[in-house]
This record gives sequence, C-alpha cells and structure tokens, in this order.
Amino acid sequence: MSGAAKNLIYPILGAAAFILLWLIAAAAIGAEIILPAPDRAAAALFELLKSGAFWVDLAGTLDRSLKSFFLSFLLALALAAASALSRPLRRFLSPWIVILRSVPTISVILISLLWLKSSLAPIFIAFLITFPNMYSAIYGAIEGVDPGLVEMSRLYKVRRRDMVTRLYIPSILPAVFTSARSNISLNLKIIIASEVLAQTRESVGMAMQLSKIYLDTPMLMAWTAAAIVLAALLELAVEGVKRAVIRWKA
Amino acid sequence: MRMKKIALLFAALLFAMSACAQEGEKSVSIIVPNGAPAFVFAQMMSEGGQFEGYEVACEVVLGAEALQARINDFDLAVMPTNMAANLYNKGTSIQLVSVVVHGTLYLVGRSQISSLKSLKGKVVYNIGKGNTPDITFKYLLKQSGIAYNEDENPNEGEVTLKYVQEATQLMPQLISGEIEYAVIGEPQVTQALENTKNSENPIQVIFDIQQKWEEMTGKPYPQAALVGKKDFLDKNPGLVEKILQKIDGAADWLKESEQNRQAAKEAIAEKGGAISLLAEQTVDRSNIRPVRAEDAKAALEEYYNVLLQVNGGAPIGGKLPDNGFYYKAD
Repeated sequence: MSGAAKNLIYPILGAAAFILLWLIAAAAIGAEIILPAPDRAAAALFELLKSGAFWVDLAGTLDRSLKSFFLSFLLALALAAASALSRPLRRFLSPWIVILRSVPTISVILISLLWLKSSLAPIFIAFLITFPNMYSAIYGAIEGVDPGLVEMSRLYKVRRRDMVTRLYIPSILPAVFTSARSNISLNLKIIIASEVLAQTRESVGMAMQLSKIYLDTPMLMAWTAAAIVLAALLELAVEGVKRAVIRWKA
Repeated sequence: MRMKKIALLFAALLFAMSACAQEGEKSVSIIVPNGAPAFVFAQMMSEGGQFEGYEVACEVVLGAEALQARINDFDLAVMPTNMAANLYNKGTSIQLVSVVVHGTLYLVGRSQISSLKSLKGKVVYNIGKGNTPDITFKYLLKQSGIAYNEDENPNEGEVTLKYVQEATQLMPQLISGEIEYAVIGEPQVTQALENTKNSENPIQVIFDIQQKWEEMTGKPYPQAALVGKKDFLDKNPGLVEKILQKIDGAADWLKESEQNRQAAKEAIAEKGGAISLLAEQTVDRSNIRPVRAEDAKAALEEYYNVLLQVNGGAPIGGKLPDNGFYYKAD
C-alpha cells in the first residue's frame, strides 16, 4: 500500500464509522423529526444545493463572517503589535481584554441584540468573542520571541526594520496563522448562532431556524453539513494563505 | 423452609410487578407549552395528580418548539395546530382531538389607529419569522391590499416588518417605547399593558388579530389544539371524553376568582412553566374555547390552506392532513 493510500484509509474509516453510528441511531430512534437517516439528510442537501435561496443565504452569512473575522484579526494584529511596543498601552488594554474574555457568550449575544440591527448584531457578537482570542494569541507570540535572539540582534546593532522582518515576523507567523485558522471557523459558528437569535434575513442561521420550526429535520441536517463544509473551506483558505506567505518569506 | 421463603419473595415480587403494570395502564402523560395552552389545563393541574381514576402527569414546557423533542413522551399535548398537521403529515401517529385556543394574538402599540392601512410607513415587530403569527399577520396585510417588506428602516407606502426570535427580546424595547408597534400574544399582552399602564403613553391593544382573521375568512382562528397519540386515544376513549368535558370549563374557572388564577399560576410554575401575570382579561384575550375536531375541521382547513401558500406548505408538512387526522369518538 502506498503512503498516500495509507494516509487516506483512516480518515475514510473514521467517516464511515460516523455514518454507521448515525444510521444505527436514526434506526433506533425511528422518528425522522428527531434524527433523520443520513440518506434523507443527503437528499435534502441536494435539494438545497439546487435552490437559489440557498446561495443567497450562504453568501449573506459568508459576507458577515468575513467582515467580522477581518475586523477582529486586523485589530488584534495592530493592537497586539502596539501593545508589544508600548507597556502603558498594554496595561490600558488589559482590563478590556479580561472583561471581553470572561463575559458569558450569551450575555454578549442578548445585549447586542438590544443595541444593534439584525444584520449587524451577528458581526459585532462574533467580533467581541474572537477578537480577545486572537489578540492574546498574537501578543503571546510576540512576547514569546526568543529573548536571546532579540538580545543578540541588539548587540550586533541589527537595523530595526530587519529585526521586524527577519526575526519577529517569521517567529510569530505560525502562531498567528494557527490562531486565525481556529478563529475563522469559530467566528462562522458564532455568526450562525447569532443569526438565529437576531432573525437576520438572508442568513444560514435563519434558514436553520425555519427548518427547525417547520419540523424539517433533514433540511436542518443539510444546512448543518453546508455550514461544516463552509467552515472547512475557510480554514483551508487560511492554510493556503499561510503557505503562500511562508513561501514568499523563504 | 428456605424454599418457602424464596417462594414467598417471588410471590411478593410478582404482586409488586402486576401492581406496577396496572398503575402503568391507568396513567396519562400530558405536555403543554407555557401560556394559553397551559391555562387550558391549569384547573386540572391545580387539582392534583388524580383524574377519573388515572394518574395524571402534567408537564409545562417553555414553548411549542420544546415539544418537538418530546414527541415520544406524551399521551396528550397541546400544540399549535400547524405543528399537529406537520407531525401527522410526517408520519407521527397522532390525532387532533379539539381546537382549544382560538387565538391569543394582538397588534399592540402606543397610538390607536383606525385601520391596518394606517400602518403604512411604520415598523411592526413580529415574533418568530416564518412562524404562524408572522404568516397570519402578513396574510391580513395582503388581503387588505397593503404592501409589506422586511427592512431595517421604515419605507413610504408599505409596512416594514422586523423580527425577534422570542417575546423576551422585544418586551424591554416595547415597554421603553423604542418599538412603536408589535404583534404579540397573551400572556405577554397583559405584561406589556400592565408595565406601562401608569406611564404617560401606555401601550394599548390596537387590533385583535383573530377577530380580523374571522372578518376576512368567515372562520374562527384555530391556533392551538389538544392532540393525542392515536394508540392512547383508541384505548382510552372514556378518559378523553372526561378531559374534553373538564376543559370546557377551563376559561370559566380561571375567570371565576383571583384565587383560582393564583392557584393556576402556582400549578403551572410547579409543573415547569412560568406565568407572571394572569388577569381576567388575560383569559378573555386568550380565547380558550374548546371545539371538537369534527366541528373545527372547516376552520382548520381554511387556516391550513393559507399556510400551504407559504414556503411550499412547509408549516404543515406540504399538504392538507387527511381525515385520519381528526379524532372522532365512537
């Protein structure tokens, strides 16, 4: 067996075991409105892919998700870098980050719904949750740059610009991308949950909520599968950017 | 000696088991959502766990959607009539016994208006996009020739619709006055009126949605029904009849005295629900009027035909339920 085949066989076995478990559970429960069989969910997914509304809803959610992610990411990057340079700023920001990290997600959601329009609330909610994650991860990465190397660069009077591009950026890149990757899919999940509560028009969350109130569980499963695929694609995109950047740096 | 003991033990065990089985046969599990559906069973709940020789296990869940996960757990339940048809059309073995709630929906707001047309250029909040109150309100607008749209800001010449997922999300803004008009149901209507009755500009009931429905369709608005598992209904016709007789008096009992309403609130809370305010008018506005399936069929089909026009009929599972859906006592 070749290496590639070996690498593939275990994920396939894993997925097959998952579908088998699902089949058994669906048969045991015997009520489609609680747990439909995988083939019913797959049929619903094909039906969904053919409908124009599906792409409109998906595009709406993707749009909100990207806006929220880039807002969080760029602000986290800028503030983490600024905090690394300025101790007063870091101390000034620390209570904000502590509050944002510890406020219960549901409070963020409920309060945002009171303040904001239904199309904006999900973006803001996901921002409030992913921003402190990414800020802490990026700041931690900057702090974690080998102090020996920093000291050495100083001793040899390496130019500041070179220190940033040759030492800091390459050292923090892996952590930045790891954080971006996990937060881009977390962001999507929060956006969808918020859309349900905010009743956002043209959204995956609203479509899921409608399938739920109409007891159309196969359709709810189909939307769930679509959301999983979207999250995986977003993570792959981050991975692609990471590879491109690393190649360009090297 | 030892054998005798074992035999005795065995006999005791058998006796206990048979007692259990018998008790199991004579019990009924009833699940009702909080609000008007719970009012229908409030008297029975407050009178304890025995009814006509049956052990009654009543449970109040916090919304109709919570029932969906519990379809295997009840013998009888009160649920929205569209949900009943939907479950039936999806192969669940249930029957509609009686339409018990004929509409709890009201357009409330800060200023009286003469007709639905005056809502043009205004924002009206609704609870649960795509749910039956939303569908009903849109139907009334459409039948009155009034354009509507879902938007963030009000537009000239049309009604702008906005949505929240549940009543608690709009009550603060409704009471504070940020929301001018909203379609809400009892018991939230009472809550909105009570919370602003001493303010300069109290919230008022502007339109009775079910009354408008009746004016336009000529039929009552069948919002929620008592539903039973077919097996259970077939095996316990006597009990079903007694329950139907009992709930015929539900509204009168609640209106009779403050003491009864207090007992109702306590019983509902004990069974898992929560009703903060329950006034005589709350009962009136909840339109608790049980009508048996056979007599309610025409009104139900009128309503189902409207729901069939929405989202490919998804609210009722895509088609009118057949005759097997309507319970008939032999």
